[in-house]
Amino acid sequence: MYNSVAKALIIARYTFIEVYKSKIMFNVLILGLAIAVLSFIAAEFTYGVPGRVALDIGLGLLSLSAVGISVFMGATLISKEIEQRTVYMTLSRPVGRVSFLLGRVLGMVLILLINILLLGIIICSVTIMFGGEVGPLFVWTILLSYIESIILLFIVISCSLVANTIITVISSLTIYATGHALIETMTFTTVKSNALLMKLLKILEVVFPNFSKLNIKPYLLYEQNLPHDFLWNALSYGTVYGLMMFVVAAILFVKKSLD
Amino acid sequence: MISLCNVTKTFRKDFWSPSFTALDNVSFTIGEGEAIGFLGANGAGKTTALKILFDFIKPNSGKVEFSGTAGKNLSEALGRIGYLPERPYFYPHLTGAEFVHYMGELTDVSKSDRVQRMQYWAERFKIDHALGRMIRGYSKGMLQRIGFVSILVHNPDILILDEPLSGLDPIGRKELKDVLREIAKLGKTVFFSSHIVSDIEEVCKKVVVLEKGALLYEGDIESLLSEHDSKVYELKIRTFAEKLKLENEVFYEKLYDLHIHRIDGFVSENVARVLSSGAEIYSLNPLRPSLEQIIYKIRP
Ligand SMILES: Nc1ncnc2c1ncn2[C@@H]1O[C@H](COP(=O)(O)OP(=O)(O)OP(=O)(O)O)[C@@H](O)[C@H]1O
Ligand SMILES: [Mg+2]
Repeated sequence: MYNSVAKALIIARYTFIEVYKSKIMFNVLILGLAIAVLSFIAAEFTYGVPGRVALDIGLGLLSLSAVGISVFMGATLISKEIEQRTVYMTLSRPVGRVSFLLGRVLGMVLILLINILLLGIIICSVTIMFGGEVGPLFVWTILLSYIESIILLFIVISCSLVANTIITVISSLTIYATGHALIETMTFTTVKSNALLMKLLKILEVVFPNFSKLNIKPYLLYEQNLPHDFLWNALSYGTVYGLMMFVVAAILFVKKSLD
Repeated sequence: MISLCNVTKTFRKDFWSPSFTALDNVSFTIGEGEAIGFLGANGAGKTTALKILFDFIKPNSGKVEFSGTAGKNLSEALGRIGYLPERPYFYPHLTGAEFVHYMGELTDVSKSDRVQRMQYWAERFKIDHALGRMIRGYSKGMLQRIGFVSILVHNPDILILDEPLSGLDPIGRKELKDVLREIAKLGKTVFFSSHIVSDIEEVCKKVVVLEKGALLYEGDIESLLSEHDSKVYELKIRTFAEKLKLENEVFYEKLYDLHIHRIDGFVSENVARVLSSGAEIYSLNPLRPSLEQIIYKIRP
């Protein structure tokens, strides 16, 4: 057990070095710059509270980048290893398949963390510059976004183990959109009045990740507060769902024929 | 020490297409301290057998057994094996040195040992100049060379290589064969696949021959070759205008100013005849049977 985790950490470290050197992080900086510029422009041309506009744009781009990294890098994180045969090198060392998967995933989770931290700091500074306020709820928003991107990463990896890259990208984006829209759909009156449709949606709600639970941006922007147990609830939901998806990915990878 | 026991593997391209048998009830053993060649034509099933050995793919039936130096099971064996797959590829954005460290760390090699062995093997494989460069820019031969360094950094007792000589230039081939011979002399186990008989003959005492997924031969390479050796010699003669008449000639060809004769046995008389005619002997070599000839002969 200890050994498996130690091996996973080695793999994570080199995964991080590899991604870092591939200059993906450079894009994060460009995005950060874009956030700052867009916020300036938007604040100039819109009525309303400039601080809130900056926060809105910033958080929007932050989740966009997190989703982008999860989907597009996750789709090839493991499948490229199999295609390019690099996986044979690692797995011919005393490394179990679960350790290998955990290591690759941890490396990506670290990349996601740095991406979110960097952008978070930029958004924070820009918002304050425009006279907005940044409180604990901002940290929660970012934390839950982070968890959302990790769950999405695991979903993407699971898909990539059974389907090709294009199908993986399309289906995980679909799952992402569905996970956001489900709850909202249930509030439509036409849907509410249809018992069968409601039942179907209830089932889907259990299967699909309930991403709207992790999206507290509207509260941050307009209400500035949320009860604590709501936040902890969201956090534990995200963590449990994430762990479950990792287990799914691990089972798929252990069973996978590497040829 | 490592045995494939009655391994059968079929592939199915699509759900509805008929299955194709890549390995048919194949058994062979990689013995302790042996240098064994794994001979077979393209598509014979060599790579498939190795993938099963490493549990990358599952056989339909049969199993792989480990014992002795290799340990009791695959996970024990892995730390003692150095394996280089066919056409290996490594993380393109790591440098050669980083990749070697990666492989060493995964096998619990201390940093000082990693550095020292990497230096030693990188020099031997003439890749030391490129250790600091990203693998992305490596040529095919350089990939192969950094691959050897990366699988020797934990000082394995068993080497398993899938077509290690392909992609290397003639000098590289010779260097690798020298290293393999050296490692075999140390009492370590060397097992590598190839479809060139002479490459295997130069390094190995034993050979496992696979043909269309079936085991054709397992045993001494010398006895296989002598048993099926046609004892044909190739005699190349230069600076002589006309074709000489030689005894037991089985083949003749003229290439520029070279006369190429193949004669079955009966060498001394023919050589005497050439010398007395005033011609210059360019070379005289025993002709080793090719893979196709051996397979053709031992096929049931
Ligand atoms: N994943 C696969 N799906 C379908 N067929 C496969 C698969 N892998 C191997 N085969 C088939 O199995 C046979 C054996 O292939 P294998 O790669 O083991 O040959 P080999 O002896 O290594 O040949 P080479 O010398 O060309 O490397 C081939 O006919 C190949 O087409
Ligand atoms: Mg092969």
